[in-house]
Amino acid sequence: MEETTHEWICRGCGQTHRAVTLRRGERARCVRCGRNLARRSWFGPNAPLAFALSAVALGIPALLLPFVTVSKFDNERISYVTTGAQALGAHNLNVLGAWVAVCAVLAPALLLGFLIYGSVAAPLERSSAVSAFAHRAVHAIQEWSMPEVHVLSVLVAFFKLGSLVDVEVGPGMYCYAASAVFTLMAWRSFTLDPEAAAHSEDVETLEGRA
Amino acid sequence: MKVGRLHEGVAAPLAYSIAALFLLVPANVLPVMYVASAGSTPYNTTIFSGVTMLCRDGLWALGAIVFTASILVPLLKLAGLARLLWAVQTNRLTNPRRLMRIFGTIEFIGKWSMLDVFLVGYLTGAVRFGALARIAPRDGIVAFAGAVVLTMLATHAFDPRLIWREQPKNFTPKESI
Repeated sequence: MEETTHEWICRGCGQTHRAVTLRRGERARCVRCGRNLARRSWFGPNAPLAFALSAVALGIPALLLPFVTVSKFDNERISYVTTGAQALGAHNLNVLGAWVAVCAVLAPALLLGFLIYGSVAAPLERSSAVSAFAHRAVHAIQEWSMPEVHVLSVLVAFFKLGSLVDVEVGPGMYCYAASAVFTLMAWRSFTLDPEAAAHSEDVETLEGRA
Repeated sequence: MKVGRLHEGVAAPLAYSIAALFLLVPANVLPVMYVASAGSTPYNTTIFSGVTMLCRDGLWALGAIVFTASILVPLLKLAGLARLLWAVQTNRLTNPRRLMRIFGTIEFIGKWSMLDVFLVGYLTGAVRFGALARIAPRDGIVAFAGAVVLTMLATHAFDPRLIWREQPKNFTPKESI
């Protein structure tokens, strides 16, 4: 491991570490609390951008194509990714509907936006402030972005619906699930890969203070 | 009776946790969903009855997933937060690594409690066949969603660096990372 001039400040305990150059697949943990400080992705520094763009490419059909088709006695109903949020709104649970829409669609979309912004704008502008902002935004939004939980809930719903109606999975569901996986991979490689944050000397410092 | 002053970093997560605990009561007692289907009597389900119905239908694995996400995780989160807040408030920070593991677990499992909220929302939207079959949300799901959000806010408000305040600032390990 080669030492660099950067510093990593653990977000868990505030311990300062001299940053080191990691090899592919290698990870650095905090000496004090054991939390992950950095991990070099197997896929290289452009991986967050590639994963995020793939997630966007799959996210668009996920929004437009049928998620699931439910039928009962020749009555057919096609639902989309936002159907749940709309249905809650239709039952006067507007806040809950909005919350579901935020966690299932808006937060993942914002997360992808900031991942792309952080991966493209920060290296181009060579500005640590831009990169620090992108990292803080990604950390803040990631907590509320839950496409993977949404996918699991729909899978549980299939089985629950089995005895009540006939269910057919639509292409939107496959695209959404794949988009969720790519979003997770983009986030993991963006937040922990030191190469992805190569132009942000104070990223970890700022995160440590947040 | 002398009432000790709350540590600065404890007040906000404690307030969120207590509010979440209060909301978990109606969340588990009130029905979360109404199910009506042609040829059978309409019924309301609570979070727990939803789990038992899955198990009764032989879907044990799914029942276990829903039970874990909707009942176990919120309770574990609150118990973990209580343990952390108690340790910080009473300055019993003798095993900070263990406390850190608790915090890491709470942080990781936080969002999975939203499973039931998504599930009710999705079922409500998908099953709207008028008199043939209909699913509607009930008040319990609002309380449950509120409890989930509050536990997440409580975790967010807790600063894990408080766990390490009794430890030396410039910790030097015996081995390099």
